[in-house]
Amino acid sequence: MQLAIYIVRRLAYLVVALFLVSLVTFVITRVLPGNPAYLIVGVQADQSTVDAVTERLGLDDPIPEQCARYVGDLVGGDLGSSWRTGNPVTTDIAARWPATIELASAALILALAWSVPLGIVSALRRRSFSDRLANFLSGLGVSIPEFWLALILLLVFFGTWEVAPAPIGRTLGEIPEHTTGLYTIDAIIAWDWAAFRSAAAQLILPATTLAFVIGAPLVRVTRGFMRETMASAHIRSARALGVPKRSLIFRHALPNVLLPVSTMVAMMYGYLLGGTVLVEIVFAWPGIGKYAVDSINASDFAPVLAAVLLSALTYLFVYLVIDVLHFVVDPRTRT
Amino acid sequence: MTAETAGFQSTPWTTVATALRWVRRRVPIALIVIVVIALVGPWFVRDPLELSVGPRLSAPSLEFWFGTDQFGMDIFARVVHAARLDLGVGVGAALIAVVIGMPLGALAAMRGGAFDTLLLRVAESLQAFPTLLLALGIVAALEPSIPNLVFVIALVNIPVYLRLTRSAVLPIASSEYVLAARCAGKGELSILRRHILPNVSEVVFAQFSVNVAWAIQILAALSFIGLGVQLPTPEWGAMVRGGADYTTYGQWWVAVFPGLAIVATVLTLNQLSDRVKHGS
Repeated sequence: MQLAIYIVRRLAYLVVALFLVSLVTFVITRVLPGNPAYLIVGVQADQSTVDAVTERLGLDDPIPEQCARYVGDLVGGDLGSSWRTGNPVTTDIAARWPATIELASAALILALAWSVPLGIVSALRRRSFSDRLANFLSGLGVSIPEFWLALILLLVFFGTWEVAPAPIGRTLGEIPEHTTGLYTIDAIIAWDWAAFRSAAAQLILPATTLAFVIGAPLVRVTRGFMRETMASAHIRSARALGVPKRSLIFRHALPNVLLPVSTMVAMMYGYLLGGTVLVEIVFAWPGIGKYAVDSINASDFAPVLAAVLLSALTYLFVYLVIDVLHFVVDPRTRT
Repeated sequence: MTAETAGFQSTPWTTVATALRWVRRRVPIALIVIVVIALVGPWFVRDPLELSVGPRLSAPSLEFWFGTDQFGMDIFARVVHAARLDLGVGVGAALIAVVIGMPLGALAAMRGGAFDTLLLRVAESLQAFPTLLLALGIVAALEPSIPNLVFVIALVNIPVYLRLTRSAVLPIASSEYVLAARCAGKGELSILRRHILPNVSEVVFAQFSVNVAWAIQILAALSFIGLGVQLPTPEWGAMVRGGADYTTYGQWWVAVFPGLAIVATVLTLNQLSDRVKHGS
């Protein structure tokens, strides 16, 4: 019951956030200087054509009215259409969404795999080798531009050692039968070993690039919380009671650390959707980010805003899920 | 400020001396070197825009330390010149963000109520967008000129200062000395300026150098996508973009050196922030 009330309240907040977020994108489209009509007809068009398009798009209506219509369209799932591809933006995005999700998820899993253990180990042994390594890697990770790291990895693994495949999309082999849209998962479901290898080989370098960059702040957060927890009173009491070190770390300390770390992971996911833009370009990965940038370069505006909006929606949604999970797992949030 | 509280007579000289001591203790030497290069370096290197000063795509050598690019331009000269632009945009954007975000955050904390809630919600919803995508969306709607880029990068950073200052001011706003100042009939703005902002300046400054680093990263990323600074203007991200296609074919130096410059600058700026935060 308590959970239901919490979820309802959290959903209500989500609606407010969604409204504000769509307001931001509306402001970007309409209030900024420049008439969107020009984007459709081109700058050389004569005044009557521009006027006609302005009229058709309702750009001369009062701003509040335009805003209401915009939000109404969004609620109805209408994100406009792309004149570059000729499709409704929602169709285009649905086709590219799995590519971005596959990349982002693989990156997140890899990031967690290196950053959380390193953060924990380095917190337990101050000034040790692992602590220094954690310092070095996390310092480098937050400073290195993704697009540059991607190029360096390509230079080493594709250009020099020739162990990685060419950076031209999601697979060089056959596309596995469509189930989830994630090639690696689909290949496993279809028991198609060759397709899996090909898809995974394409995935590994872009995912590693992102995993290094987003893992860096996770190392710092994990280490910080782990140090704090290990110095706290309940760990001291447990130690005084003779609880063995292993259980001290895994049973008493770790659960307290994983909660704040999971919040951080949700925030990283939002960042990840922005970061994939750069990596997708370097690896010609046909996801949302590349779609947005290709559209910008063609002055095709609707897809760009849709991608911006969608990334914010995903972030808010992931955040909601994490919050609800915390509510279920951590009794302290139920005040 | 420090000289005053320590009980000395504050003269311009003691202020300068205190500032210098602070710089020596906290600022990483590498960062000082980078700033000096950005300030005076351009006078000592070749013209970054001169075509064919050497053979095209020649490897690093004694004559061309970082090699030459596809137009035969000297990459070392271009990396040095770009330092001025990248650091300039970074500092400019972070300054605008702090000048707008810090007072707003402090006011929100002091006023409370609907004003606070509204600002906080707007800041939160701006932060729901991945920074780069938001910047990309706005830049796409504007012209990619340098002032516009500074404006956009500043805009996406304002919420950071707003929320940081707000959370730092909240405990101070209800403290006794602020209450005392209020009882003494001081105005809100004067309390803010004299009693509150000086106490949060250290936290904000630590954030400031991180933000300069972010701003440089966003600028470089936008230029890499092709929405920021356009070639042939020397800018690190744009230069990486220019060299990207050659990287895997053996001419690695075109993209590698400008990228290294970004890493070095951002790394040292982050170090500065760490040292300010943890004191020394």
